[in-house]
Amino acid sequence: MITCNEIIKHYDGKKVLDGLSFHVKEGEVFGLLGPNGAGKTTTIKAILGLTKLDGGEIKKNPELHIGYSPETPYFHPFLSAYEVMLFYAKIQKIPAQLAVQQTLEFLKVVGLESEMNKKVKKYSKGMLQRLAVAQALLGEPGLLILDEPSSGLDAFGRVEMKKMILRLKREGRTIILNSHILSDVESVADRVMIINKGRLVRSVNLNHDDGSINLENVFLEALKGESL
Amino acid sequence: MIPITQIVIKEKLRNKIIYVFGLLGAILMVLISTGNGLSINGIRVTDFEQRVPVAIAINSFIGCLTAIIISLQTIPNEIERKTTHLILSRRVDRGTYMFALSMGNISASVMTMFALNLSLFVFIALLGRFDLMVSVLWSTTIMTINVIALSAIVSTLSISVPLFINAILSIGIYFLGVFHNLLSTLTNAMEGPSGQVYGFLLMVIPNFSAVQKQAANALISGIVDFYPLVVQLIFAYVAVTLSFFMFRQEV
Repeated sequence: MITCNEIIKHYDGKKVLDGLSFHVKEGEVFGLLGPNGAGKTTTIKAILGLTKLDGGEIKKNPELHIGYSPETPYFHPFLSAYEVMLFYAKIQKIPAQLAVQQTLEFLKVVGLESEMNKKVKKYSKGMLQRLAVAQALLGEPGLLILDEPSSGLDAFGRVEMKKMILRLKREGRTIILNSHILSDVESVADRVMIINKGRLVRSVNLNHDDGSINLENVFLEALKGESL
Repeated sequence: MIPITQIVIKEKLRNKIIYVFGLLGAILMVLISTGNGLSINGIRVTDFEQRVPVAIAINSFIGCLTAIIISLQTIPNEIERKTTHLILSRRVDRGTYMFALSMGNISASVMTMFALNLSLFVFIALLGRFDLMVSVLWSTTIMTINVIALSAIVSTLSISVPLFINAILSIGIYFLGVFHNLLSTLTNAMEGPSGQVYGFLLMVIPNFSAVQKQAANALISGIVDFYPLVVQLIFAYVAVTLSFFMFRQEV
């Protein structure tokens, strides 16, 4: 689906990505873990083509459509969720009829169908995060990138978000999940990549996990001895 | 591109500052149209015909300031809120995106200018001076060219120039443009290389005063020289085209 080969990125002379390599397979949920400043967001920006790499390459199908849900989504507060969805559908040049159909479908997936005519300014943080996921689903993307989808959510919101990601996983969607919440990643991801200072520290396969892998321990162990 | 432009217009028309300026314009129109206290160089201006050019000049000034306010923050805000990520991740071309935002700024600025002038038309209608309607409409339309040019320049600069510096630059460009003819005369009087340097600098400043002069001509005699209007529109075109090519390295 997507392969990153030795990708390098500098910001102000500091190496943020230091020869990072990984591969995301079709249909899997790929967890991206690491401490603050590890290079997770830069990796996502590189995949999205929002930042120019200083080295390495990202191999992906040029036709690959990526849906992106940012960590702190901003939507125009004067629009309703329904209008936000139609706006992003129009940008993608999705035909009008299909846009309406997908809007209704994905707002239902994220549990916002009853609130879709409410202005976004009245939305809670959790509702905004769910709307961000819904807009990322527009156009049936081949790859979905969820950047900290549970950021700022309360316990209830986190549970809802986790359920939603599991639902998307069951639908066979390929997802890159960047999250600080290890337990959430553990319960939904097939594979996890732990990075630090722009380098791959450890890759963990959770697909056949019989409960013997404790991601928290793996994470701490992987970063033991690493300067954070 | 159109949805992005539309959303900018919707957002801008919700900006309270625009309504403050609009209200200010309407109040000034009331004072100019109905009051007898207006005097220029100590001479009392009593006829409505004499007050109309003053009203248009004031509207133009407020319209240009509003265009600067409208156009300054749109693009920096998009980058700050990271809306850019959501748009660009959908394979929207960066240049097209910036162009669409700039077009949104220009459209919102023109609409504000129209709203400002609307109060003037209301007073013309209320006073039953329908004979003035066409010339005033023609004159205000010409003045709108300045608003288009200014909005295009400020929008394009806002892509790569920090907000505060852009604000100073934009106001500077506007005032240099308003005094363009005067500065040209001064530059022509200068000798040596410094005169040539200032002359070149003036060439890259749009001539707002030339457009204002044509707006006045439209009002007084109806005879308009289109050359300065075309030059100003070319300035706007070049500025908005540059928005295709200017982009911050990191978004």
